[in-house]
Amino acid sequence: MNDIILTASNLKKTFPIHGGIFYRKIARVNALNGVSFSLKRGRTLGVVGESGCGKSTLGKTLLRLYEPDSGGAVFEGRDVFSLKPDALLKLRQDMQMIFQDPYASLNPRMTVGSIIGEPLNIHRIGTREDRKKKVEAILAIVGMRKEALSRYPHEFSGGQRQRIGIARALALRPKLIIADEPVSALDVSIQSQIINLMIELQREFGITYIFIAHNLAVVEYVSDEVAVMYLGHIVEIAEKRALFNRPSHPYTLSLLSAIPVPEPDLKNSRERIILKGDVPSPIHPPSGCPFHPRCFKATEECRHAMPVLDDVAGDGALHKVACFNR
Amino acid sequence: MHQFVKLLPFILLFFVYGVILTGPLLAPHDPFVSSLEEALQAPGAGHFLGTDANGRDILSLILYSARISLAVSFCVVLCCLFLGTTLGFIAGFFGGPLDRLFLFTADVFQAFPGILLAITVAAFIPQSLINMILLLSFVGWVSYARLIRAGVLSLKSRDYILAATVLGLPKSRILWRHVFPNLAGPVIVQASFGMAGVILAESALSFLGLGLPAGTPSLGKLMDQGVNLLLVAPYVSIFPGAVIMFFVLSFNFVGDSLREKFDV
Repeated sequence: MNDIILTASNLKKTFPIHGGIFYRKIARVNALNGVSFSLKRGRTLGVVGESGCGKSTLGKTLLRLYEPDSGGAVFEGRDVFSLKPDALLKLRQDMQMIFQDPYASLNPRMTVGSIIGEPLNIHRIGTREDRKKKVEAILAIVGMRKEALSRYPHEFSGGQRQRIGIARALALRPKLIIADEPVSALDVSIQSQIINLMIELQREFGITYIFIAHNLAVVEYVSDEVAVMYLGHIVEIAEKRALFNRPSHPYTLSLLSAIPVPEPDLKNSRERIILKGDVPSPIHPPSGCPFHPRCFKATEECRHAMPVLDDVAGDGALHKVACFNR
Repeated sequence: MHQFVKLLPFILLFFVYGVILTGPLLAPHDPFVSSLEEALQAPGAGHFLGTDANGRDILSLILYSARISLAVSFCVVLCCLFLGTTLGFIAGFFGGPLDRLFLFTADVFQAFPGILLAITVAAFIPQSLINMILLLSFVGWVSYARLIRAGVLSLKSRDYILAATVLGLPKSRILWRHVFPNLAGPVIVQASFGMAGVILAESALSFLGLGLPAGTPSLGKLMDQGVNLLLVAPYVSIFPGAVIMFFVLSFNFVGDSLREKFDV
Protein backbone atom coordinates (compact mmCIF):
# COMPACT_ATOMS: atom_id res chain seq x y z
CA MET A 1 0.00 0.00 0.00
CA ASN A 2 2.94 2.29 0.64
CA ASP A 3 4.03 2.54 -2.97
CA ILE A 4 5.29 5.76 -4.51
CA ILE A 5 2.79 7.50 -6.81
CA LEU A 6 4.76 10.62 -7.74
CA THR A 7 8.43 11.51 -7.75
CA ALA A 8 9.72 14.95 -8.60
CA SER A 9 13.44 15.32 -9.12
CA ASN A 10 15.38 18.57 -9.21
CA LEU A 11 12.54 20.61 -10.75
CA LYS A 12 13.64 24.02 -11.94
CA LYS A 13 11.43 26.71 -13.37
CA THR A 14 12.24 30.33 -14.15
CA PHE A 15 10.04 32.99 -15.67
CA PRO A 16 11.69 35.49 -18.01
CA ILE A 17 11.17 39.21 -17.52
CA HIS A 18 11.22 41.29 -20.69
CA GLY A 19 11.95 44.95 -21.01
CA GLY A 20 13.37 47.75 -23.09
CA ILE A 21 12.29 48.76 -26.57
CA PHE A 22 13.58 45.55 -28.13
CA TYR A 23 11.78 43.46 -25.56
CA ARG A 24 14.85 41.49 -24.61
CA LYS A 25 15.08 39.18 -21.65
CA ILE A 26 16.48 41.35 -18.91
CA ALA A 27 16.08 39.06 -15.92
CA ARG A 28 14.66 35.79 -14.67
CA VAL A 29 12.41 35.05 -11.75
CA ASN A 30 13.64 31.87 -10.11
CA ALA A 31 10.38 30.25 -9.06
CA LEU A 32 11.62 26.69 -8.53
CA ASN A 33 15.29 26.04 -7.75
CA GLY A 34 15.62 22.29 -7.81
CA VAL A 35 12.67 20.78 -5.98
CA SER A 36 12.71 17.05 -5.28
CA PHE A 37 10.33 14.87 -3.30
CA SER A 38 8.44 11.64 -3.56
CA LEU A 39 4.89 10.99 -2.52
CA LYS A 40 3.25 7.77 -1.40
CA ARG A 41 -0.15 6.68 -2.64
CA GLY A 42 -3.14 7.74 -0.57
CA ARG A 43 -1.19 10.24 1.50
CA THR A 44 -1.26 14.00 1.71
CA LEU A 45 1.77 16.18 1.24
CA GLY A 46 1.29 19.65 2.65
CA VAL A 47 3.35 22.37 1.02
CA VAL A 48 3.79 25.57 3.02
CA GLY A 49 5.67 28.80 2.57
CA GLU A 50 5.22 32.53 2.17
CA SER A 51 3.67 34.06 -0.96
CA GLY A 52 6.10 33.92 -3.82
CA CYS A 53 8.04 30.93 -2.51
CA GLY A 54 7.05 28.86 -5.54
CA LYS A 55 4.46 26.56 -4.04
CA SER A 56 1.78 27.35 -6.63
CA THR A 57 4.37 27.13 -9.42
CA LEU A 58 5.29 23.68 -8.13
CA GLY A 59 1.66 22.52 -8.37
CA LYS A 60 1.11 24.02 -11.79
CA THR A 61 4.38 22.66 -13.17
CA LEU A 62 3.52 19.14 -12.01
CA LEU A 63 0.26 19.48 -13.96
CA ARG A 64 2.14 20.79 -17.00
CA LEU A 65 0.44 24.15 -16.92
CA TYR A 66 4.05 25.33 -17.01
CA GLU A 67 6.90 23.52 -18.69
CA PRO A 68 9.88 23.22 -16.33
CA ASP A 69 13.35 24.43 -17.37
CA SER A 70 14.89 21.22 -16.16
CA GLY A 71 14.23 18.31 -13.86
CA GLY A 72 11.67 15.57 -14.08
CA ALA A 73 8.58 14.08 -12.57
CA VAL A 74 7.41 10.50 -12.71
CA PHE A 75 3.78 9.65 -12.05
CA GLU A 76 3.06 5.92 -11.78
CA GLY A 77 5.99 5.12 -14.04
CA ARG A 78 5.12 7.76 -16.62
CA ASP A 79 7.55 10.61 -17.25
CA VAL A 80 5.19 13.56 -16.92
CA PHE A 81 7.21 16.03 -18.97
CA SER A 82 7.91 13.89 -22.03
CA LEU A 83 4.40 12.58 -22.67
CA LYS A 84 2.89 12.89 -26.15
CA PRO A 85 -0.46 14.74 -26.36
CA ASP A 86 -2.65 11.62 -26.24
CA ALA A 87 -0.70 10.14 -23.36
CA LEU A 88 -0.88 13.48 -21.58
CA LEU A 89 -4.65 13.46 -22.04
CA LYS A 90 -4.72 10.06 -20.34
CA LEU A 91 -2.55 11.40 -17.52
CA ARG A 92 -5.00 14.25 -16.98
CA GLN A 93 -7.60 11.67 -15.91
CA ASP A 94 -5.34 10.74 -13.03
CA MET A 95 -4.06 14.16 -11.98
CA GLN A 96 -6.47 16.97 -11.22
CA MET A 97 -6.43 20.33 -9.54
CA ILE A 98 -8.55 22.30 -7.08
CA PHE A 99 -8.14 26.06 -7.31
CA GLN A 100 -7.80 28.75 -4.69
CA ASP A 101 -10.46 31.23 -5.73
CA PRO A 102 -13.86 29.58 -6.22
CA TYR A 103 -15.09 32.80 -7.82
CA ALA A 104 -12.53 32.66 -10.63
CA SER A 105 -12.31 28.92 -11.19
CA LEU A 106 -15.82 28.36 -12.53
CA ASN A 107 -16.90 29.67 -15.93
CA PRO A 108 -19.72 32.14 -15.15
CA ARG A 109 -21.55 31.29 -18.39
CA MET A 110 -21.81 27.56 -17.82
CA THR A 111 -24.35 25.74 -15.67
CA VAL A 112 -23.10 23.65 -12.79
CA GLY A 113 -24.21 20.55 -14.68
CA SER A 114 -22.09 21.37 -17.71
CA ILE A 115 -19.12 22.41 -15.56
CA ILE A 116 -19.06 19.06 -13.79
CA GLY A 117 -19.96 17.20 -16.99
CA GLU A 118 -17.19 18.82 -19.03
CA PRO A 119 -14.38 16.46 -17.93
CA LEU A 120 -16.60 13.48 -18.77
CA ASN A 121 -17.29 14.93 -22.22
CA ILE A 122 -13.63 15.67 -22.89
CA HIS A 123 -12.62 12.12 -22.08
CA ARG A 124 -15.73 10.63 -23.73
CA ILE A 125 -16.71 8.61 -20.69
CA GLY A 126 -19.92 6.58 -21.10
CA THR A 127 -23.03 7.56 -23.01
CA ARG A 128 -24.91 10.79 -22.58
CA GLU A 129 -27.23 9.08 -20.09
CA ASP A 130 -24.32 7.61 -18.11
CA ARG A 131 -22.67 10.98 -17.90
CA LYS A 132 -25.83 12.62 -16.62
CA LYS A 133 -26.14 10.00 -13.89
CA LYS A 134 -22.47 10.33 -13.05
CA VAL A 135 -22.71 14.09 -12.70
CA GLU A 136 -25.67 13.72 -10.34
CA ALA A 137 -23.81 11.14 -8.29
CA ILE A 138 -20.71 13.32 -8.01
CA LEU A 139 -22.82 16.28 -6.97
CA ALA A 140 -24.33 14.16 -4.21
CA ILE A 141 -20.85 13.07 -3.11
CA VAL A 142 -19.75 16.65 -2.55
CA GLY A 143 -22.94 17.31 -0.61
CA MET A 144 -25.01 19.34 -3.04
CA ARG A 145 -28.55 18.90 -4.27
CA LYS A 146 -29.63 17.92 -7.76
CA GLU A 147 -31.40 21.24 -8.28
CA ALA A 148 -27.98 22.89 -8.54
CA LEU A 149 -27.32 21.27 -11.93
CA SER A 150 -29.21 23.78 -14.03
CA ARG A 151 -28.07 26.82 -12.09
CA TYR A 152 -25.10 29.14 -12.63
CA PRO A 153 -22.05 29.59 -10.38
CA HIS A 154 -22.97 33.12 -9.28
CA GLU A 155 -26.06 31.72 -7.56
CA PHE A 156 -23.89 29.92 -5.01
CA SER A 157 -21.82 30.91 -1.99
CA GLY A 158 -18.03 30.56 -1.89
CA GLY A 159 -18.15 27.27 -0.02
CA GLN A 160 -20.69 25.79 -2.41
CA ARG A 161 -18.66 26.96 -5.37
CA GLN A 162 -15.61 25.27 -3.95
CA ARG A 163 -17.68 22.08 -3.66
CA ILE A 164 -18.53 22.44 -7.36
CA GLY A 165 -14.82 22.89 -8.12
CA ILE A 166 -14.04 19.75 -6.13
CA ALA A 167 -16.80 17.88 -7.96
CA ARG A 168 -15.27 18.88 -11.30
CA ALA A 169 -11.84 17.66 -10.20
CA LEU A 170 -13.42 14.46 -8.87
CA ALA A 171 -15.43 13.64 -11.99
CA LEU A 172 -12.57 11.73 -13.64
CA ARG A 173 -11.83 9.78 -10.43
CA PRO A 174 -8.24 11.05 -10.32
CA LYS A 175 -5.56 9.35 -8.26
CA LEU A 176 -3.78 12.59 -7.39
CA ILE A 177 -5.34 15.96 -6.69
CA ILE A 178 -3.21 19.07 -6.37
CA ALA A 179 -5.12 21.54 -4.22
CA ASP A 180 -3.73 25.06 -4.53
CA GLU A 181 -4.80 26.85 -1.34
CA PRO A 182 -8.29 25.37 -1.62
CA VAL A 183 -9.64 27.01 1.53
CA SER A 184 -7.72 30.25 1.91
CA ALA A 185 -10.42 32.26 0.08
CA LEU A 186 -13.20 30.89 2.31
CA ASP A 187 -14.68 31.88 5.66
CA VAL A 188 -13.17 30.03 8.60
CA SER A 189 -16.45 28.25 9.33
CA ILE A 190 -16.63 27.00 5.74
CA GLN A 191 -12.94 26.06 5.64
CA SER A 192 -13.46 23.16 8.02
CA GLN A 193 -16.39 21.82 5.97
CA ILE A 194 -14.35 21.82 2.79
CA ILE A 195 -11.30 20.28 4.47
CA ASN A 196 -13.38 17.56 6.04
CA LEU A 197 -15.01 16.87 2.68
CA MET A 198 -11.56 16.50 1.13
CA ILE A 199 -10.46 14.13 3.90
CA GLU A 200 -13.63 12.04 3.49
CA LEU A 201 -13.05 11.81 -0.25
CA GLN A 202 -9.49 10.66 0.40
CA ARG A 203 -10.73 7.87 2.66
CA GLU A 204 -13.42 6.80 0.23
CA PHE A 205 -11.48 6.91 -3.04
CA GLY A 206 -7.87 6.61 -1.85
CA ILE A 207 -6.90 9.93 -3.43
CA THR A 208 -3.41 11.31 -2.95
CA TYR A 209 -3.23 15.03 -2.25
CA ILE A 210 -0.65 17.72 -2.67
CA PHE A 211 -2.12 20.34 -0.41
CA ILE A 212 -0.66 23.80 -0.95
CA ALA A 213 -1.37 26.28 1.82
CA HIS A 214 0.06 29.03 3.92
CA ASN A 215 -2.04 28.26 6.97
CA LEU A 216 -0.02 25.93 9.20
CA ALA A 217 -2.99 24.89 11.31
CA VAL A 218 -4.82 23.69 8.19
CA VAL A 219 -1.73 21.87 6.94
CA GLU A 220 -1.21 20.18 10.30
CA TYR A 221 -4.80 18.96 10.18
CA VAL A 222 -4.79 17.44 6.68
CA SER A 223 -1.22 16.38 5.96
CA ASP A 224 0.76 13.21 6.46
CA GLU A 225 3.95 14.85 5.33
CA VAL A 226 4.87 18.51 5.15
CA ALA A 227 7.32 20.30 2.89
CA VAL A 228 8.43 23.82 3.82
CA MET A 229 9.41 25.98 0.87
CA TYR A 230 11.51 29.15 0.78
CA LEU A 231 12.46 31.01 -2.41
CA GLY A 232 11.91 28.02 -4.65
CA HIS A 233 13.71 25.51 -2.42
CA ILE A 234 12.34 22.84 -0.14
CA VAL A 235 14.19 23.68 3.08
CA GLU A 236 12.63 20.98 5.24
CA ILE A 237 10.43 17.98 4.50
CA ALA A 238 9.24 15.53 7.14
CA GLU A 239 6.46 13.42 8.54
CA LYS A 240 3.93 15.81 9.99
CA ARG A 241 4.55 14.82 13.65
CA ALA A 242 8.28 15.11 13.27
CA LEU A 243 8.06 18.48 11.63
CA PHE A 244 5.73 20.01 14.16
CA ASN A 245 7.45 18.44 17.20
CA ARG A 246 11.08 18.68 16.15
CA PRO A 247 11.40 21.43 13.53
CA SER A 248 15.04 21.63 12.47
CA HIS A 249 15.34 24.39 9.90
CA PRO A 250 15.48 27.93 11.33
CA TYR A 251 12.81 29.01 8.85
CA THR A 252 10.45 26.23 9.97
CA LEU A 253 11.13 27.21 13.59
CA SER A 254 10.14 30.78 12.94
CA LEU A 255 7.04 29.75 10.98
CA LEU A 256 5.88 27.47 13.77
CA SER A 257 6.49 30.12 16.38
CA ALA A 258 4.04 32.32 14.49
CA ILE A 259 1.07 29.95 14.95
CA PRO A 260 -1.35 31.59 17.38
CA VAL A 261 -1.77 29.62 20.60
CA PRO A 262 -5.26 29.34 22.05
CA GLU A 263 -4.04 29.35 25.71
CA PRO A 264 -2.73 32.73 26.89
CA ASP A 265 -0.72 31.15 29.73
CA LEU A 266 1.21 29.02 27.36
CA LYS A 267 1.82 31.91 25.07
CA ASN A 268 4.33 33.57 27.34
CA SER A 269 6.29 30.40 27.83
CA ARG A 270 6.98 30.09 24.14
CA GLU A 271 9.67 31.92 22.30
CA ARG A 272 8.45 33.95 19.32
CA ILE A 273 11.06 34.15 16.59
CA ILE A 274 10.70 37.32 14.56
CA LEU A 275 12.64 37.32 11.31
CA LYS A 276 14.42 40.41 10.23
CA GLY A 277 13.84 41.86 6.78
CA ASP A 278 11.71 40.68 3.90
CA VAL A 279 11.83 37.75 1.54
CA PRO A 280 14.59 38.55 -0.96
CA SER A 281 13.52 39.08 -4.55
CA PRO A 282 13.46 35.82 -6.51
CA ILE A 283 15.02 37.78 -9.38
CA HIS A 284 18.24 38.25 -7.39
CA PRO A 285 18.32 35.37 -4.92
CA PRO A 286 21.08 35.58 -2.28
CA SER A 287 24.23 33.52 -2.67
CA GLY A 288 24.68 30.37 -0.64
CA CYS A 289 21.72 29.37 1.49
CA PRO A 290 18.70 31.37 0.27
CA PHE A 291 17.63 31.99 3.86
CA HIS A 292 20.94 33.28 5.26
CA PRO A 293 20.17 37.05 5.10
CA ARG A 294 17.29 36.57 7.53
CA CYS A 295 18.56 33.61 9.51
CA PHE A 296 19.39 33.96 13.21
CA LYS A 297 21.78 31.00 13.01
CA ALA A 298 23.62 32.07 9.86
CA THR A 299 27.39 31.61 9.74
CA GLU A 300 30.07 32.43 7.21
CA GLU A 301 29.56 29.05 5.53
CA CYS A 302 25.89 29.86 4.79
CA ARG A 303 26.87 32.88 2.76
CA HIS A 304 28.87 30.88 0.24
CA ALA A 305 27.63 27.31 0.11
CA MET A 306 24.20 25.96 -0.59
CA PRO A 307 23.09 23.33 1.94
CA VAL A 308 21.45 20.22 0.49
CA LEU A 309 18.51 18.26 1.92
CA ASP A 310 20.03 15.91 4.49
CA ASP A 311 18.41 13.11 6.43
CA VAL A 312 18.15 13.93 10.12
CA ALA A 313 15.71 11.29 11.32
CA GLY A 314 18.25 8.47 11.54
CA ASP A 315 15.54 5.85 12.00
CA GLY A 316 14.43 5.60 8.36
CA ALA A 317 11.46 7.92 8.83
CA LEU A 318 11.18 10.91 6.51
CA HIS A 319 12.85 14.02 7.87
CA LYS A 320 15.21 16.00 5.66
CA VAL A 321 16.61 19.44 6.29
CA ALA A 322 18.70 21.78 4.18
CA CYS A 323 20.75 23.61 6.83
CA PHE A 324 24.38 23.62 8.02
CA ASN A 325 23.55 24.67 11.59
CA ARG A 326 20.56 22.56 12.58
CA MET B 1 -43.97 48.06 -16.18
CA HIS B 2 -40.28 48.14 -15.38
CA GLN B 3 -39.72 45.40 -17.91
CA PHE B 4 -41.62 47.39 -20.50
CA VAL B 5 -39.51 50.52 -20.01
CA LYS B 6 -36.39 48.43 -20.48
CA LEU B 7 -37.75 46.90 -23.67
CA LEU B 8 -39.01 50.21 -25.07
CA PRO B 9 -35.90 51.14 -27.07
CA PHE B 10 -35.85 47.67 -28.58
CA ILE B 11 -39.54 47.81 -29.55
CA LEU B 12 -39.16 51.29 -30.99
CA LEU B 13 -36.03 50.31 -32.84
CA PHE B 14 -37.70 47.22 -34.20
CA PHE B 15 -40.70 49.22 -35.46
CA VAL B 16 -38.67 51.99 -37.07
CA TYR B 17 -36.21 49.61 -38.66
CA GLY B 18 -39.14 47.69 -40.06
CA VAL B 19 -40.30 50.88 -41.70
CA ILE B 20 -36.84 51.75 -42.96
CA LEU B 21 -36.03 48.32 -44.34
CA THR B 22 -39.24 48.27 -46.31
CA GLY B 23 -38.69 51.96 -47.16
CA PRO B 24 -38.92 51.87 -50.96
CA LEU B 25 -42.29 50.12 -50.69
CA LEU B 26 -43.64 52.76 -48.33
CA ALA B 27 -42.18 55.83 -49.97
CA PRO B 28 -45.05 58.04 -51.18
CA HIS B 29 -43.05 59.45 -54.12
CA ASP B 30 -40.15 58.44 -56.31
CA PRO B 31 -37.19 60.24 -54.68
CA PHE B 32 -35.18 60.29 -57.89
CA VAL B 33 -37.70 62.31 -59.88
CA SER B 34 -37.23 66.03 -59.54
CA SER B 35 -39.85 68.54 -60.53
CA LEU B 36 -38.85 72.15 -60.17
CA GLU B 37 -42.43 73.38 -59.81
CA GLU B 38 -42.59 71.55 -56.51
CA ALA B 39 -39.19 72.76 -55.20
CA LEU B 40 -38.84 73.73 -51.54
CA GLN B 41 -42.38 73.06 -50.46
CA ALA B 42 -42.91 73.24 -46.70
CA PRO B 43 -44.13 70.08 -44.93
CA GLY B 44 -47.80 69.63 -45.68
CA ALA B 45 -50.41 67.39 -47.17
CA GLY B 46 -48.80 66.60 -50.54
CA HIS B 47 -45.28 66.15 -49.24
CA PHE B 48 -45.39 65.09 -45.62
CA LEU B 49 -41.88 66.37 -44.83
CA GLY B 50 -41.67 68.91 -47.65
CA THR B 51 -39.45 68.88 -50.77
CA ASP B 52 -35.85 69.83 -51.45
CA ALA B 53 -34.42 72.37 -53.89
CA ASN B 54 -34.98 69.95 -56.78
CA GLY B 55 -38.55 69.28 -55.78
CA ARG B 56 -37.85 65.76 -54.52
CA ASP B 57 -39.97 64.39 -51.69
CA ILE B 58 -37.91 64.49 -48.47
CA LEU B 59 -39.75 61.66 -46.72
CA SER B 60 -39.09 59.36 -49.66
CA LEU B 61 -35.46 60.46 -49.83
CA ILE B 62 -35.04 59.74 -46.12
CA LEU B 63 -36.65 56.32 -46.46
CA TYR B 64 -34.27 55.43 -49.27
CA SER B 65 -31.12 56.88 -47.76
CA ALA B 66 -31.70 55.61 -44.21
CA ARG B 67 -31.77 52.14 -45.66
CA ILE B 68 -28.42 52.71 -47.32
CA SER B 69 -26.89 54.31 -44.23
CA LEU B 70 -28.08 51.37 -42.14
CA ALA B 71 -26.72 48.86 -44.64
CA VAL B 72 -23.36 50.63 -44.73
CA SER B 73 -23.00 50.73 -40.96
CA PHE B 74 -24.10 47.11 -40.63
CA CYS B 75 -21.53 45.98 -43.18
CA VAL B 76 -18.82 48.12 -41.60
CA VAL B 77 -19.47 46.75 -38.12
CA LEU B 78 -19.47 43.23 -39.52
CA CYS B 79 -16.13 43.83 -41.28
CA CYS B 80 -14.68 45.43 -38.14
CA LEU B 81 -15.89 42.52 -36.03
CA PHE B 82 -14.33 40.00 -38.38
CA LEU B 83 -11.02 41.84 -38.70
CA GLY B 84 -10.89 42.93 -35.06
CA THR B 85 -11.83 39.53 -33.66
CA THR B 86 -9.30 37.68 -35.77
CA LEU B 87 -6.38 40.02 -35.14
CA GLY B 88 -7.27 40.66 -31.49
CA PHE B 89 -7.48 36.93 -30.86
CA ILE B 90 -4.17 36.17 -32.48
CA ALA B 91 -2.46 38.99 -30.60
CA GLY B 92 -3.98 38.15 -27.23
CA PHE B 93 -3.79 34.39 -27.45
CA PHE B 94 -0.34 33.87 -28.90
CA GLY B 95 1.29 36.98 -27.45
CA GLY B 96 5.01 37.48 -28.04
CA PRO B 97 6.22 39.16 -31.25
CA LEU B 98 2.78 38.93 -32.91
CA ASP B 99 1.28 40.84 -30.03
CA ARG B 100 3.94 43.51 -30.16
CA LEU B 101 3.45 43.93 -33.91
CA PHE B 102 -0.28 44.24 -33.30
CA LEU B 103 0.15 46.83 -30.57
CA PHE B 104 2.48 48.88 -32.74
CA THR B 105 0.04 48.84 -35.67
CA ALA B 106 -2.88 49.70 -33.41
CA ASP B 107 -0.94 52.61 -31.92
CA VAL B 108 -0.18 53.96 -35.38
CA PHE B 109 -3.85 53.75 -36.34
CA GLN B 110 -5.03 55.36 -33.16
CA ALA B 111 -2.50 58.16 -33.43
CA PHE B 112 -4.77 59.71 -36.08
CA PRO B 113 -8.27 60.88 -35.26
CA GLY B 114 -10.49 58.36 -37.08
CA ILE B 115 -12.40 60.86 -39.17
CA LEU B 116 -9.21 62.61 -40.27
CA LEU B 117 -7.72 59.32 -41.40
CA ALA B 118 -10.95 58.54 -43.25
CA ILE B 119 -10.97 61.93 -45.00
CA THR B 120 -7.33 61.54 -46.02
CA VAL B 121 -7.84 58.09 -47.49
CA ALA B 122 -11.18 59.04 -49.06
CA ALA B 123 -9.44 61.76 -51.05
CA PHE B 124 -7.37 59.10 -52.86
CA ILE B 125 -9.92 56.42 -53.67
CA PRO B 126 -12.87 56.50 -56.07
CA GLN B 127 -16.25 57.01 -54.46
CA SER B 128 -18.41 53.91 -54.27
CA LEU B 129 -20.53 52.02 -51.81
CA ILE B 130 -17.97 49.24 -51.42
CA ASN B 131 -15.08 51.67 -51.02
CA MET B 132 -17.05 53.50 -48.35
CA ILE B 133 -17.55 50.28 -46.41
CA LEU B 134 -13.89 49.29 -46.78
CA LEU B 135 -12.72 52.75 -45.78
CA LEU B 136 -14.78 52.92 -42.60
CA SER B 137 -13.77 49.36 -41.68
CA PHE B 138 -10.13 50.27 -42.22
CA VAL B 139 -10.53 53.14 -39.78
CA GLY B 140 -12.73 51.31 -37.29
CA TRP B 141 -11.29 47.84 -36.72
CA VAL B 142 -8.66 48.88 -34.19
CA SER B 143 -10.96 49.48 -31.23
CA TYR B 144 -12.64 46.08 -31.73
CA ALA B 145 -9.29 44.35 -31.96
CA ARG B 146 -8.03 46.07 -28.82
CA LEU B 147 -11.16 45.07 -26.94
CA ILE B 148 -10.84 41.45 -27.99
CA ARG B 149 -7.12 41.36 -27.25
CA ALA B 150 -7.63 42.78 -23.77
CA GLY B 151 -10.47 40.33 -23.14
CA VAL B 152 -8.46 37.33 -24.29
CA LEU B 153 -5.47 38.42 -22.21
CA SER B 154 -7.49 38.73 -19.04
CA LEU B 155 -9.44 35.53 -19.67
CA LYS B 156 -6.32 33.55 -20.54
CA SER B 157 -5.07 33.63 -16.96
CA ARG B 158 -8.44 32.93 -15.33
CA ASP B 159 -8.53 29.83 -13.19
CA TYR B 160 -11.37 28.28 -15.16
CA ILE B 161 -9.24 28.38 -18.29
CA LEU B 162 -6.43 26.66 -16.35
CA ALA B 163 -9.00 24.19 -15.04
CA ALA B 164 -10.10 23.39 -18.60
CA THR B 165 -6.46 22.84 -19.57
CA VAL B 166 -5.92 20.52 -16.63
CA LEU B 167 -9.05 18.62 -17.64
CA GLY B 168 -7.42 18.07 -21.03
CA LEU B 169 -9.49 20.40 -23.26
CA PRO B 170 -7.51 21.33 -26.40
CA LYS B 171 -6.73 25.01 -26.94
CA SER B 172 -9.10 25.45 -29.87
CA ARG B 173 -12.01 24.13 -27.83
CA ILE B 174 -11.04 26.24 -24.83
CA LEU B 175 -11.39 29.23 -27.14
CA TRP B 176 -14.84 28.17 -28.29
CA ARG B 177 -16.26 27.00 -24.99
CA HIS B 178 -14.63 29.31 -22.45
CA VAL B 179 -13.14 32.39 -24.08
CA PHE B 180 -15.68 33.29 -26.78
CA PRO B 181 -18.84 33.12 -24.67
CA ASN B 182 -17.26 35.35 -22.04
CA LEU B 183 -16.24 37.90 -24.65
CA ALA B 184 -19.57 37.98 -26.46
CA GLY B 185 -21.07 40.49 -24.03
CA PRO B 186 -18.55 43.31 -24.37
CA VAL B 187 -18.23 42.71 -28.10
CA ILE B 188 -21.98 43.01 -28.70
CA VAL B 189 -22.04 46.20 -26.66
CA GLN B 190 -19.12 47.61 -28.60
CA ALA B 191 -20.80 46.67 -31.89
CA SER B 192 -24.01 48.49 -31.03
CA PHE B 193 -22.12 51.66 -30.11
CA GLY B 194 -20.07 51.09 -33.27
CA MET B 195 -23.23 51.14 -35.43
CA ALA B 196 -23.98 54.61 -34.12
CA GLY B 197 -20.43 55.78 -34.73
CA VAL B 198 -20.37 54.50 -38.30
CA ILE B 199 -23.67 56.19 -39.19
CA LEU B 200 -22.21 59.45 -37.88
CA ALA B 201 -18.94 58.97 -39.73
CA GLU B 202 -20.67 58.08 -42.99
CA SER B 203 -22.95 61.10 -42.67
CA ALA B 204 -20.00 63.35 -41.90
CA LEU B 205 -18.03 62.12 -44.93
CA SER B 206 -21.06 62.44 -47.21
CA PHE B 207 -21.68 65.88 -45.78
CA LEU B 208 -18.13 66.82 -46.78
CA GLY B 209 -18.68 65.44 -50.24
CA LEU B 210 -16.31 62.52 -49.67
CA GLY B 211 -18.97 59.93 -49.11
CA LEU B 212 -21.16 57.86 -51.35
CA PRO B 213 -21.13 58.53 -55.11
CA ALA B 214 -23.73 60.66 -56.86
CA GLY B 215 -26.98 58.81 -57.32
CA THR B 216 -26.73 56.98 -54.00
CA PRO B 217 -28.78 58.93 -51.50
CA SER B 218 -27.47 59.23 -47.97
CA LEU B 219 -28.56 61.06 -44.86
CA GLY B 220 -25.37 63.10 -44.75
CA LYS B 221 -25.78 64.23 -48.34
CA LEU B 222 -29.37 65.25 -47.68
CA MET B 223 -28.20 67.41 -44.82
CA ASP B 224 -25.46 68.85 -46.98
CA GLN B 225 -28.04 69.95 -49.56
CA GLY B 226 -29.97 71.87 -46.99
CA VAL B 227 -27.08 73.83 -45.52
CA ASN B 228 -27.38 76.77 -47.88
CA LEU B 229 -31.13 76.81 -47.41
CA LEU B 230 -31.15 76.65 -43.63
CA LEU B 231 -32.90 80.03 -43.27
CA VAL B 232 -35.29 79.58 -46.18
CA ALA B 233 -36.17 75.90 -45.84
CA PRO B 234 -34.76 74.46 -42.60
CA TYR B 235 -36.74 71.23 -43.00
CA VAL B 236 -34.41 70.08 -45.79
CA SER B 237 -31.59 69.58 -43.26
CA ILE B 238 -33.52 69.11 -40.06
CA PHE B 239 -35.44 65.94 -40.90
CA PRO B 240 -32.45 63.92 -42.14
CA GLY B 241 -30.50 65.24 -39.13
CA ALA B 242 -33.26 64.07 -36.81
CA VAL B 243 -33.12 60.61 -38.37
CA ILE B 244 -29.34 60.45 -37.82
CA MET B 245 -29.87 61.51 -34.24
CA PHE B 246 -32.53 58.86 -33.81
CA PHE B 247 -30.20 56.17 -35.17
CA VAL B 248 -27.36 57.15 -32.90
CA LEU B 249 -29.54 57.50 -29.82
CA SER B 250 -31.32 54.20 -30.32
CA PHE B 251 -28.08 52.29 -30.86
CA ASN B 252 -26.57 53.92 -27.81
CA PHE B 253 -29.62 53.05 -25.70
CA VAL B 254 -29.51 49.49 -26.92
CA GLY B 255 -25.78 49.40 -26.20
CA ASP B 256 -26.38 50.64 -22.68
CA SER B 257 -29.08 48.14 -21.88
CA LEU B 258 -27.02 45.32 -23.35
CA ARG B 259 -24.11 46.40 -21.20
CA GLU B 260 -26.28 46.18 -18.11
CA LYS B 261 -27.49 42.76 -19.13
CA PHE B 262 -24.01 41.36 -19.70
CA ASP B 263 -22.53 42.68 -16.48
CA VAL B 264 -22.60 39.59 -14.30
